[in-house]
Amino acid sequence: MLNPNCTTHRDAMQALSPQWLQGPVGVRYMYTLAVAMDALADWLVYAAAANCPSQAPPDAVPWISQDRGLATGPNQSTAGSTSTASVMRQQQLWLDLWKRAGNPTGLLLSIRSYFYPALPAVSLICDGDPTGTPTPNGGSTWYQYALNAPDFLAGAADPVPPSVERRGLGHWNWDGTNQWWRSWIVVYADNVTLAAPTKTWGAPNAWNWDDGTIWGISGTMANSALAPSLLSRARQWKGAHAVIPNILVCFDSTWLQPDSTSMKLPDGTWNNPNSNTRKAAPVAFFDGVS
Amino acid sequence: MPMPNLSDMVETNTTTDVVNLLLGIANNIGLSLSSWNPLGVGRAIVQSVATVYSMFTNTAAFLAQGAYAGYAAQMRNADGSDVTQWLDLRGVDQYNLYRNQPTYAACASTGFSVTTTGTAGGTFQIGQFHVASPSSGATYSNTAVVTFNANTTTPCAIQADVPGTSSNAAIGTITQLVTPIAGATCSNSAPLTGTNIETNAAYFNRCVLKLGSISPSGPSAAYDYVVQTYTQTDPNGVRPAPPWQLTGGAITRSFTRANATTGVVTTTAGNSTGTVSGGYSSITNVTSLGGNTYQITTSTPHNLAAGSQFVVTGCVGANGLNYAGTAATVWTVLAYVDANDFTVNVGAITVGAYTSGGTVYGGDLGLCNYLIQANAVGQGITATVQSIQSIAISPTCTVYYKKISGLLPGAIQAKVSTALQSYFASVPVGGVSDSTPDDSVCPYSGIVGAIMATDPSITSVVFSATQALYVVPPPLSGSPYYTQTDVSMLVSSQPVGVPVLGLTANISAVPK
Repeated sequence: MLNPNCTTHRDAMQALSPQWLQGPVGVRYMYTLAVAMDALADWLVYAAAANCPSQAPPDAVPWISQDRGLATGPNQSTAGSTSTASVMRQQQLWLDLWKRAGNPTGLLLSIRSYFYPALPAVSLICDGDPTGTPTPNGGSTWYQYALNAPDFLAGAADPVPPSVERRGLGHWNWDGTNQWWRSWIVVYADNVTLAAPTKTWGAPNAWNWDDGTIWGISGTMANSALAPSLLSRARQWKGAHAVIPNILVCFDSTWLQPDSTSMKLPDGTWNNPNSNTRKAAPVAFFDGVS
Repeated sequence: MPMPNLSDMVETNTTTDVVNLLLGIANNIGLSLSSWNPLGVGRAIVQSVATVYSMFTNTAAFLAQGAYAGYAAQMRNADGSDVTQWLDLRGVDQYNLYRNQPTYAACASTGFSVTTTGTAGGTFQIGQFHVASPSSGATYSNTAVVTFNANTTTPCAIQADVPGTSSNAAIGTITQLVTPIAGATCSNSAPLTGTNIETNAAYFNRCVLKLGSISPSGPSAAYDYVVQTYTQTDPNGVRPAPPWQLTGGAITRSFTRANATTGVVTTTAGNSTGTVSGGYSSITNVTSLGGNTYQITTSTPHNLAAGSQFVVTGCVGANGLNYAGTAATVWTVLAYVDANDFTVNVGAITVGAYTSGGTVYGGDLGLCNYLIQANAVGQGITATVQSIQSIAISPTCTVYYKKISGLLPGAIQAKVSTALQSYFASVPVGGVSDSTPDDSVCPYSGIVGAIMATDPSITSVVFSATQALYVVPPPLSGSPYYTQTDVSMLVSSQPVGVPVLGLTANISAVPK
């Protein structure tokens, strides 16, 4: 009968071997065969466990994310790195996140996950209120995650919701119109590796051809590489009806805040690239999605 | 021991690898391998164990790879075809979603007929009367009992003997009687369309789209999932069956986006052959024509033909027309009157006098719209559906291939045509992006790549400088033009185009 204390094939092999295989050569020979069986058994166990977010090796993380409809960012799950706690929790809460697809929580957490393990401040600024709650004078609603505020709490069944603030008409005045299906995403670049724009349109930092900056977004090449990823996430996680005219990367977090002064908020002409206020803003503008 | 990387777990070991591994271990723990007889018991047992071990590494590698639906979707057989078993397991167990099975190209009796002369053909039970398409070689059988009398044109419902698109038939191509009737001729007045089994890529894409349907807030994935899935009958019968079956094949491609100035959501849907027929419109009047026949008037063109199936919702007064979730309230267009009018026979249903409101959803496109309104559109959201627009691409090129392959130019041309059809069918609605999200093109490089991958004997493909790819109809300019660059998939500035193979006469193959 197998020794109940045997936990490996090596132990079991020795326990099961007849006396004539218990000598110095026999033991070594059987050990050689058994160690391979142990390796194979480990392999099978690892293979079965590798699709669990809490167990996955780094190069399995993108596959898990893909299965769960989640995108991986540039600073996570690359070969040789380890899966971050944020990514693991994101994968574990995939169904809870998808339940929130199309609402501000799902959209902002998807945008934020691009920067994992960093947790930048992000905002979703909505014309009106997508939840139907009346805003003062039909103004704007601000959904925000503060810098380093957690997305998920240990043991919590749901993601942490963003803070919500409502402002009156004119507080957020992009182009003079208020259309409830429009929202703007703002990423505050406090702790993420993004180069601030070196050139903006118009004087005094005029854009010049082939100077390393990008025509039309007032940003740098690094900003440009960021845009497709954020746009893809926005398209996937926004409500189908939602229109996001622009994604903004803000390099001065005193700008574009619910409590910012009017000088640091859109003035009704920000949709125009020649707007003087927009030219002066420490903000990179990316075309949005619909 | 830390968990190894996935890339290591999906690698298999050959018997030789394992033999070397075992002998290395034996050597390390002090066994004297030099004393082992090459044909002795010791080495023989190691060889046997290594062989079994190597076989198990295949199992372990499959186990590791098959643990992810996305990875399982990439499994290929040695001939390049999809390994479907693993993804089928993942699809059902992980997403509760089944793979779309192939369907048979078929038509009702209104779409095919046999004309006899002096000789009667007799009566045929289901499946006993056979016809064929001389051009494709596909064969078809009758799906209802039919009797062919002398000197008569008799309608006959037929279905392909083999499922899939290989039995698709254009109008007027099923002209050969396999079951002989002296002096008789036959032809189809309707196209016959079947669908292939869903590919791994399409199936996995639908699995991920399903996640969008979890949310009550209606992300675009929910709309795309509904049009690609709810239009199909659930093989397990869990989901309510669609009111009627698609006639143009499964919706395999869709793209949902909002209008920037109105917020109205539009889902652009397409099937494997291109444009989706049918339509929907608001009802402005319902008029009794006497008996059980009514005329329905719509505010915009209904785009329905005689025989199209449709449902009505929200009709006030004539509420007997409204869909009640039963087959009895799925109607069939009796006759097309004009662009905004058609008639219907309601049988024994009491309709009532029309007061106001109502929407008619008919044909494949109407079915998509009806299902989206019922299953995806949130409160306060306005959504609609439109068909993709086919953009024919007719390559003018010379394909060079190795003479030693023994293939005739015609065989290469046929392979290239099939490969291009397959590639074009894989291009998403509105094309793909080369550098920015809204490029919306069918890339030239993709077309060349598809041709080059057609057969190992192909060595190059050359497009002439002035006659590379020409597009009919041109999406932007007013007349055909020639381009050797990406082909735009924009139609009226909207990314609703999908490439389809146009003329193939200008694809030549030259052995070298």
